[in-house]
Amino acid sequence: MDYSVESNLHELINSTTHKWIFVGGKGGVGKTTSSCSISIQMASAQPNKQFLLISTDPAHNLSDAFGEKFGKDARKVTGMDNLSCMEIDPSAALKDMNDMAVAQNGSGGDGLGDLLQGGALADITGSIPGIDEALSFMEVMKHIKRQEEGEGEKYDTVIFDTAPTGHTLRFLQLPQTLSQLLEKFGEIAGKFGPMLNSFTGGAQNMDIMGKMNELKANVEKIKQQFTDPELTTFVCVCISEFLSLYETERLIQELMSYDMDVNSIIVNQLLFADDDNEHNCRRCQARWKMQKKYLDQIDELYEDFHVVKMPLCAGEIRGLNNLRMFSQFLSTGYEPKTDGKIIYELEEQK
Amino acid sequence: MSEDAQTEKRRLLREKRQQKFGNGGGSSRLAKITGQADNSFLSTDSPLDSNSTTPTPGKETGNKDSTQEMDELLARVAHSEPKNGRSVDQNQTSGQKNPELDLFAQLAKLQSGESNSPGATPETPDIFAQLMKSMQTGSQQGEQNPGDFPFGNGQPPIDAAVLAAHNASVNKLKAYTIIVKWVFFILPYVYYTARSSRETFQSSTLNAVTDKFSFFTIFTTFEILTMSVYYQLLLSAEKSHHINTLNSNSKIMSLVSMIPPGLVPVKNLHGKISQTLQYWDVISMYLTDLAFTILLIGIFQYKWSS
Repeated sequence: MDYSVESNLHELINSTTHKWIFVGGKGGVGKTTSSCSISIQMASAQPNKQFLLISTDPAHNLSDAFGEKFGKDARKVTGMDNLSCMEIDPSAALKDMNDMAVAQNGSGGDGLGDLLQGGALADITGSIPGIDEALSFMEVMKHIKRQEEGEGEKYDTVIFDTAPTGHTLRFLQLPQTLSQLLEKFGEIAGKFGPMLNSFTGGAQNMDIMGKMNELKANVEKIKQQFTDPELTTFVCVCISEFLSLYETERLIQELMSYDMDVNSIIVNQLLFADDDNEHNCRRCQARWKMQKKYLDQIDELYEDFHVVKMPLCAGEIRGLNNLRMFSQFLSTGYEPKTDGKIIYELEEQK
Repeated sequence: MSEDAQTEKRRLLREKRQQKFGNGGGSSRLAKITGQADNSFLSTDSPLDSNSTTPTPGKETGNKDSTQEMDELLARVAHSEPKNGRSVDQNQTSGQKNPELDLFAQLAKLQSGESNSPGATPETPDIFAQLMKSMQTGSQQGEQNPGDFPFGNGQPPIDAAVLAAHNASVNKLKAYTIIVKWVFFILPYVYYTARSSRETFQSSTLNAVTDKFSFFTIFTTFEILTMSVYYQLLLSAEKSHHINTLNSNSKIMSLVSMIPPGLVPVKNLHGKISQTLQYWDVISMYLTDLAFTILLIGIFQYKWSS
């Protein structure tokens, strides 16, 4: 059997099994552009399937990347029937939760209802570290539930445009943390069940326990899915520089220690100055020399990975057309000699 | 290529990657990267090597990284001098300009058990310091120190099945010790001593070990020796089973643990009771052997007198 690995994402783009695709890396390496590109390519390659691109980065960029406004609810990208985007907004989600709590407690005119007026719950919980990751995780759970219940739009594949590495690792730890938390809660509830019954009334306690068990089952399901390489994969994005390479290696090792599959690396912003005689300045030559040094190391370290080398374009990669143009290189690979002109052909966004 | 062949190829490639990263490969890869840059201060410790207990969907632990980060931050705030030369305490006194720093310093003090809350003393630490200390020592085995919180005495929760198995092996050890002592030493020794008292002629050697003074000396020496051996074996059993029951295996100890510190005017009550119980254990074994010896002497005297 041939064990050579293609230096493109053709396999992933045409994959029919993957349900969750995470795109992550160090800040400023082009995660959003890469995740948008993967989503566009997948949606184009599999027109009969529905794709959802979720931004879990608190500093959302999806709207700017596509040049149209996305919110906390999934909305189709203009010009693509099978690709939707959403940006999880922690403050809006928390405001909703606050309003729900006010609606439930406020009618009785009790103290809690008064306290929550004016978004107190949102203000308090909004400042909790990791709340963005928790809310993203809730979205994943909601998505699974919706799919099971057949409600709303069904998505075959969800692509995550993640926050920089640290946030993403916290997000990926959540299933485990939640699972442990729920297990502990179950133990405590088992021990103090009769006491809880006497305080809250049996029916309410049963309801809480039922919900906890349901939540636990969902979390377990996500844990299983995230560690199944046929269902979940992580695409690392980096640039050919020392710190980015180091962080990518650490990210890959962390992910492997989580039993998560990672087999693709996108190396962005490459100059390919050797093949560009027309725009070959001294600075470009110097940077390309530096990039080549790390590219050699990347080739050596990641010979069993799909390493895709993407060019630094002359303009910003914003808007569906530009993204389409750029994203094709993910599927076919970038050839500096033949594709060199395309990087100067990007439309200027107003 | 068929779908099955592709899946198989992906699986084999995954295994190949895992092999490269495993067995210290992670650290050497990081070392290779950092070796490219001059004066790099980046760590080459691989998460794969150090994280055999990484919090992961597949492996069971808590949120170790963030805890470690917090520990490091607290340690830095508590013990390091700020760059401008002022200590954290000085910052506190120089007006409340840095409430966050103040909060971290308080937390750090709590975590290191150096609470300065009003009314907290080493004998009666406040509840937050005790909780923090019990959290810190929760995963460590150790002896009770003066001022330790009695409810969190550093004993990790022990699985009931493991404890039962340990108790069974300890009981077995005790039974063997008693059999060896009684059958192979006390019984023959008492027999010879009792017989020598009714025989008119005996060798001087036998006489030297069976007279009343020598009997007590030899008996006590033997008891000390066997007791020492027994305790050594008991300690090694505790070590091999990772259980420390010597301090808290009795109902008395659990009752003592329920007395809040400061209520009884005795320092380190828990430790003292624990030590007393250990002495009582030794004395009770000695007394049991002595009672058995007296019983044997009585039986032999009765037998030979009748």
